[in-house]
Amino acid sequence: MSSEKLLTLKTRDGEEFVLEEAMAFRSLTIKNATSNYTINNTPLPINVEINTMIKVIEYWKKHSERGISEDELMNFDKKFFKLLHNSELFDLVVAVDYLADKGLSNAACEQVLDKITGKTPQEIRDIFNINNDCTPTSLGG
Amino acid sequence: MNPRLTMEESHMHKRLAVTSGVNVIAGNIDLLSEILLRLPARSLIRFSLTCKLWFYIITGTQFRLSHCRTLALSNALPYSGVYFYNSLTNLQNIDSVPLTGNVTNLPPLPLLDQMAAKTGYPVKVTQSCNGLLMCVISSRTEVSDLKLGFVCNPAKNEYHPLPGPYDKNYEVVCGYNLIFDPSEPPYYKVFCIKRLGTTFRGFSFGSTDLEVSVYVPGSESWRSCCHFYVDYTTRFDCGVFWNGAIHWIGEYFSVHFDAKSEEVVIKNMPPRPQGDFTEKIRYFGEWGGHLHLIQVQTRYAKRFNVLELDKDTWKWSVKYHVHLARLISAFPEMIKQTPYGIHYAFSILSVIRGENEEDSVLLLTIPGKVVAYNLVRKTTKVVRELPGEVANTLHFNHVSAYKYTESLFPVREWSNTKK
Repeated sequence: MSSEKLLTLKTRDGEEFVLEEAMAFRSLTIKNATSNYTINNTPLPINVEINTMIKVIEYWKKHSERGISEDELMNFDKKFFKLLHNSELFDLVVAVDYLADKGLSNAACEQVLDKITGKTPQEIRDIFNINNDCTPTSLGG
Repeated sequence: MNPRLTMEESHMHKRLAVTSGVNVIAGNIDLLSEILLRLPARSLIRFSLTCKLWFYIITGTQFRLSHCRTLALSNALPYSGVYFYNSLTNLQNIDSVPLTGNVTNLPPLPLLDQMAAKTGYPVKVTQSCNGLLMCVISSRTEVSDLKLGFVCNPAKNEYHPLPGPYDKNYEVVCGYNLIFDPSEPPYYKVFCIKRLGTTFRGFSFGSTDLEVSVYVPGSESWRSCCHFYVDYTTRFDCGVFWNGAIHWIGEYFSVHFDAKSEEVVIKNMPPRPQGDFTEKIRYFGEWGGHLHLIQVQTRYAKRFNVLELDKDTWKWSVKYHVHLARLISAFPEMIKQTPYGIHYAFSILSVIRGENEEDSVLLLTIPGKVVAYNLVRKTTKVVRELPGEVANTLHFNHVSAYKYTESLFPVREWSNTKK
């Protein structure tokens, strides 16, 4: 463990935390940022809030575990996403999009898809908190 | 309102939602598009009514193109049903049968009747490809035999006429074929097969020289690809697009035209079943990435094999043995006594491969019905009642069903989609 390189990150709301580089590099954004300049122990700022980052790290930790089976991962994912409120899920989607982690991004988007598949337009508006600005004439043609 | 949340939770939920992620997504076109691209076209057509922003995203040409490509690459094209011509009856109109519980009816095809009324000539669907339909207007008169094509998107009721492919004096169009290539916008191409020869009083005296030409949306005209020759029994009005190539078959030879390399390969058909009868092909089609062929001993044979072509070895092998005795005893209206012997009235619409092997069926029309005969369990299910009296002389066409899946493809703006 002492040979693991560590990275210090600072969230949008000012919280600092330390992460193993290997795990942090699941995010292409972080990986590219660190390759562009030397850090010298100054924390790397990331445009994510601490609450959301905690969830991301929880996911990364589980998916980095050695010897974990496909089934265990599937169960973890199921529970992980089930516990999120809609708003937390959306925060996660935005954060992961920024962090550029393809695997988690796909998983999170699938969750959003599950929420909206089969719903009526009105139910979609409720989930996304959208105003109905459509009138029959405005959508003509 | 989500009925599962309490009033209090629901208020808190809305308050959080206003200040965070959900609004970012809802307003972030790229992120929203990323999510929406994964939805089936059927859902998107419904969701385009959610709000103006969603409408603009979903109906945007770029989104529609990306969606078709994403869907094609995902290998999970969900077919909602098939269109078909009932070749047991004399009815000329196209009918349809839905295949999933979610769909009650396929979109009607008013374009066909409109085109027919506008031109005064019969209009027919000849092929389907990734949700679009290839349609042909046949104007046959005493002095000419012209076939003009247009591509139609039934889900959006849009169409795109193709330029006329004729350039020399004496040519006969045998058929048009639509293909989809997700590696290269504008993704669709149309191929035309012409027989170079003479027409006299509306009849074609074909030389056997055949030409394939291609039309890429955005170009002004057809481009000639290659010439080849094959025997007269090979039919070019009902090609099947499979494994990157268009396949045409005849009694003795099969022709494969690779859409990328534009090369023609001619192979022998599998050995024909014994018997005097000359036309042995009962069905030729594709489903779920599998290419199927049914050859029969006689036209009214109730026992036959379904062959499948292997992608790698290019060899046909028997996939299913079919014996319709049980079906015929369950539906005795299939039995027709004629002066020439007992004939069985059925027409094969499609071999449908299910996600699980035991869901694979043979879709058939019989007098008054469409039935699905399970190829593994040998059970039958009536799928639909059908109007129309069975004709006295049964006529078979080995391609008569056209798969339908909703597609967002912007057929109307096709000419503008080439980069």
